[in-house]
Amino acid sequence: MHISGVRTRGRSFSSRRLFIRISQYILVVCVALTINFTLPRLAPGDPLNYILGDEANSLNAEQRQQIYRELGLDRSVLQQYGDYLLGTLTFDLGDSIRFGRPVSEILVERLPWTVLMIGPAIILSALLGIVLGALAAWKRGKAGDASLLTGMIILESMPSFWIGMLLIAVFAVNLGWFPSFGAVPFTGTEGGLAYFVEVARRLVLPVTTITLATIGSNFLLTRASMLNTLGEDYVQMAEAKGLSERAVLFQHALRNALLPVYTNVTLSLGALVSGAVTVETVFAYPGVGRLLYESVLARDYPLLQGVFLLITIGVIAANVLADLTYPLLDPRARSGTRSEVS
Amino acid sequence: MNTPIARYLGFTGFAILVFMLLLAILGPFIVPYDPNELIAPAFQPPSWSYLLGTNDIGQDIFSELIMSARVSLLVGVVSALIATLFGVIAGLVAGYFGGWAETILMRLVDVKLTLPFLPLMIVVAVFLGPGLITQILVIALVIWAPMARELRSQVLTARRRGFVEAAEAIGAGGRYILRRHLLPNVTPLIIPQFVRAANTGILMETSLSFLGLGDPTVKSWGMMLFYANSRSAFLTDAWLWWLLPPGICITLSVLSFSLLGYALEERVRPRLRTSWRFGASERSANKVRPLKREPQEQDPESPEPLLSVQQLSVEYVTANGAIRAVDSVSFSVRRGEVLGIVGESGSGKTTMAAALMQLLKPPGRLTGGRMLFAGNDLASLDAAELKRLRNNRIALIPQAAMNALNPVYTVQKQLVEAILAHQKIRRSEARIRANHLLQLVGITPDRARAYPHELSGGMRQRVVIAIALANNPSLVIADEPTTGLDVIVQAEILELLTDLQSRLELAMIFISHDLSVVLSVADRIAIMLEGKIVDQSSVNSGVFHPNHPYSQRLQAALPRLKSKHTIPFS
Amino acid sequence: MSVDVISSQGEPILQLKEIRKSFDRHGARLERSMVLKDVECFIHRAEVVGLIGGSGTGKSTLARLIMGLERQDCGSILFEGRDLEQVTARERQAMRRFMQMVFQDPYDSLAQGLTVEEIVAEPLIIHRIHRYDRKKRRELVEDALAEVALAPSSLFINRYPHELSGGQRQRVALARALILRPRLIIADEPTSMLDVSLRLELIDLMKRLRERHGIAYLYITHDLALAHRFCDRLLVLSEGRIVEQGLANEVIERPRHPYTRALMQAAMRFMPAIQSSNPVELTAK
Repeated sequence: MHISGVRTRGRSFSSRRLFIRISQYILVVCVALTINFTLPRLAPGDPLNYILGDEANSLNAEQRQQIYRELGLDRSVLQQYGDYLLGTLTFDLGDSIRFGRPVSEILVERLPWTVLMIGPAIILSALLGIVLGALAAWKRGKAGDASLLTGMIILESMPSFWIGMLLIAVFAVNLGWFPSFGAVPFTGTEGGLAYFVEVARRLVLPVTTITLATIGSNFLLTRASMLNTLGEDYVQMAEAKGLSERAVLFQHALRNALLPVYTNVTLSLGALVSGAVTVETVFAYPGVGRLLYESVLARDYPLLQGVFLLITIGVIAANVLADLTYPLLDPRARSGTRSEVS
Repeated sequence: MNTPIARYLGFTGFAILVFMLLLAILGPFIVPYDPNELIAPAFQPPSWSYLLGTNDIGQDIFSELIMSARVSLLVGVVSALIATLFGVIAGLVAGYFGGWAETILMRLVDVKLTLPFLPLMIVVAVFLGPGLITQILVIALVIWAPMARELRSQVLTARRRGFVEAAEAIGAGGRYILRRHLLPNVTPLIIPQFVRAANTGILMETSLSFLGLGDPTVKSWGMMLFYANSRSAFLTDAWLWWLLPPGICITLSVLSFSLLGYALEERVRPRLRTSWRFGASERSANKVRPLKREPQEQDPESPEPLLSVQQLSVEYVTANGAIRAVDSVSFSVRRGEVLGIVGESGSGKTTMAAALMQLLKPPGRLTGGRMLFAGNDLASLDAAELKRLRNNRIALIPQAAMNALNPVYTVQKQLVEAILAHQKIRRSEARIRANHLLQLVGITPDRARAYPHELSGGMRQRVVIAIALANNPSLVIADEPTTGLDVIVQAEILELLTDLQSRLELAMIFISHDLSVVLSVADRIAIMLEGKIVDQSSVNSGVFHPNHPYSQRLQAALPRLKSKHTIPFS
Repeated sequence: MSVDVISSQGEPILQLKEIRKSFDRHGARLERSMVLKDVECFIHRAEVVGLIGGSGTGKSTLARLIMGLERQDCGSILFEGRDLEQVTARERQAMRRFMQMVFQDPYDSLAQGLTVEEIVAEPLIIHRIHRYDRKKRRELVEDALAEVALAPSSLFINRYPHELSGGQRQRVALARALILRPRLIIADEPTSMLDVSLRLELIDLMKRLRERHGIAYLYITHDLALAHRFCDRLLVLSEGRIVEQGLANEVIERPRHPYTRALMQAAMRFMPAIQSSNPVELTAK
């Protein structure tokens, strides 16, 4: 949500840093797991309620004891924790209360839809944000820059799901151009061109929503970062070399300004999954985000925890991706290079 | 201190915020109906009695909207306050005390920043049960971490500032420094942080309420949208009155904090300021007074100078009027001649160099005079002519050449780029030529593929010189080419420059604040003081004849040193 | 006068013994680079010692160690015979009163929001001298400003640093160092950020203060000519070691170590003008 502060996240790749990073990610997963393990045990009431849902109320004391034993709830907290970690490692996330199926199975079903929606959105939002941000910085102080900046700040201030609701009201309900609901047609067989067209049509509004909701941060970051690099000596030097205005802008200024933007985009992959929760809810889109909402409504605790874990791992995957690819962009972050102090 | 547009944005934000706060405070006294009461049939269109119509169960939307302001703003602002408090304490402790406290806090912040915030909030909120307190705590939990990180880095920066170290050196203790120097420096940064947190807080409240995790007993804008969505408001004709008003209110509230934050942040970080008022492009700014162009090509044997500058003036337009940085300066440079220009910081030397290269940026602008290079007035060249001139005929060795190389390209690529901008040769040929140039400045070709950060300061300076010479220019403008280098390296670079100058018969303008350096290279010397050239004299084997009192003072300040033994060159 | 003669002038005011210091490189503790390697030196009362070397030789690190802004890895720093690490915090604080520092960058070393009076009086406040006597403090500030030739003091006392020139700022920094009547001043390249015409003025001012109050200086610089003009004795630092030391005239006139020669050679590069124009002023004596 920062508008003008450029935050460059240094990603240098010495073995020590790599070690710190990896241990950092492992720590995050551990924290997520611990949250999942602790919350149902700390929350008021019988933990059985959180595992079986309302069904638990109909059990008598003896049945409870039996289930306690079966689930290992009578053992020490430490042993339970160990069991829990072991289960997670073998993809055993428990059974969903609402669907009565293994949580991991449901997650695997839903994940591709979210990827299908977020993939195009992130590319569109990054490209548009970067190009507009670079142009605004180049023409800084002019009317075009001022209106783009104002527009983007306003866009940044809108809740993403509200943008989605407006798009539905206008383009789906009033104009009837796009369907507003779900990811696949209710009728018709899977496969075939018509099916794919239909799926694509259903993607248009959600993708537009997420693009609009995230373009602002890419724009503002690019603009601020460009303003910084445009003041650098090497940009003046490029100009003094007799390069064309376009070469100065794109090859020298933007190339360097992109470094923090790239980090932001790769990291927002994870944040986007979070943002997808509300947008998928509005569009009744069968992705992971909608699943989170459904599990909240149904108080389906195992499912809720499974989704949280999956999203956490998604965020970490985005971080790892950023770590691995950043040195390709910035030679200073490559291993084996040492800077000589003059 | 703000730029006009930031002032305007900041004021707008402030005005919206005041309006929203008034709405929240006065809400209960101005609403026409109890928002929880069913007062009319469902889906009434807007009318004088129901300004925004009614919802699906017949509650007045206008009353709902106004009563919601309280909860939405309250949750956003209170959670931001709590988060700011924790963020500031954590940031100060980590930044000031360091050690294990810092390690633990920053690990915590990193973990917090990596965890996906919305799912985390949802999971915690579900287990704690919905409610206002839960919302506030959960939001605060999420937004304190970035603030702690920001504050810590600010404290660390402040601690390295000279005046803090000075106080430490005097013998000041930790508490004194914290109270007297760190807090006053960090406090201005807390306010924009808080504003940004409030902005995030409101948006998060909206998201949580929208997902049904708000307090069901009170109304907020997010709740209104939650009901609207769960009852499929956009499928009815009432969507316009049901969806738009709460969304607009959220957007305006968040926007007011965004704008305010933008203005505040610009105030505390002057680097972000854009020169809005003088936004005219560099070309048009330079063409304030178009000068007649004299295109005749020059006979190289003629006594005409290569560069003739007449009555050149450059001004910087500031809020308090124009400042004349270069004031009616006249001089000329002949082919193969080295003109030294000496002046102290702020005397206008660098501005003059920028004007010669046509690199003046607003708010700087040319206000008069002519710069005739081989008979052409530099100020009247169009973009294409200028592109052909730069580096090709006139080359610049810029000030702080350490930063003049682009960090993401190899030095060879940066040389090739300069060559290909002016010579129609193949890339492979250009590479060969680039390696020749590197050799010319004393860098072996095996370093050609090095990135700038892999070279020492002296080596980087050599690369910059190679770039300047890449297209056989007839004039080189060297602006403080040795400043910032180690003394020994400085002497080497100077040796290289004078050697190349005489071998390639370059005309050179050598600009420096250091009279002794200039005297050792220049054929003629000009002394600049407050934008004017006050003295010009020829230099004979390192001696010049000062006429102006200022140049006499400069000469008197020359270092004196003598070794009885001539030192053999190693 | 030889080095031995000087060193027999009683106990040195400052003595460094086997100082070592290394820094983490790129934040990685495994790759440490040694900045100072077994540095040994001493300064006598009212003696001006020049520490010379190019950039990155560890000069500033040494100054920071002496002033307690960094801690050495090993070795000891003795002020008036007492090891700064062996005394209690309270005693160290009291000793700090008599050693002060002037920093390189006068634009950064004076706090922006404070007036000249507040800046110069800061050492009094830190050391709780005339704690409740504002008038007395002001008198001392005025004296200190007069010492550094910022007179009349009424012209400067209420100004802010950004209203002063670089030379004036450095004088304010010097006044701040002087107000506690120190016996030793560490001056870390105090002239390098100043315009050329002001450098000599500041050096001559520091010289006068030494004569008047018997202050000893450790003067850190890369400028041999200024060091020659100001210092009694020179230490040459290269790659963290003191490679040569001796009386200023001897080091300048007969440099022995190759690094000192290279420094001389670089300095002489810029000095042909003087040699031929007025040769009389050239020789040191």
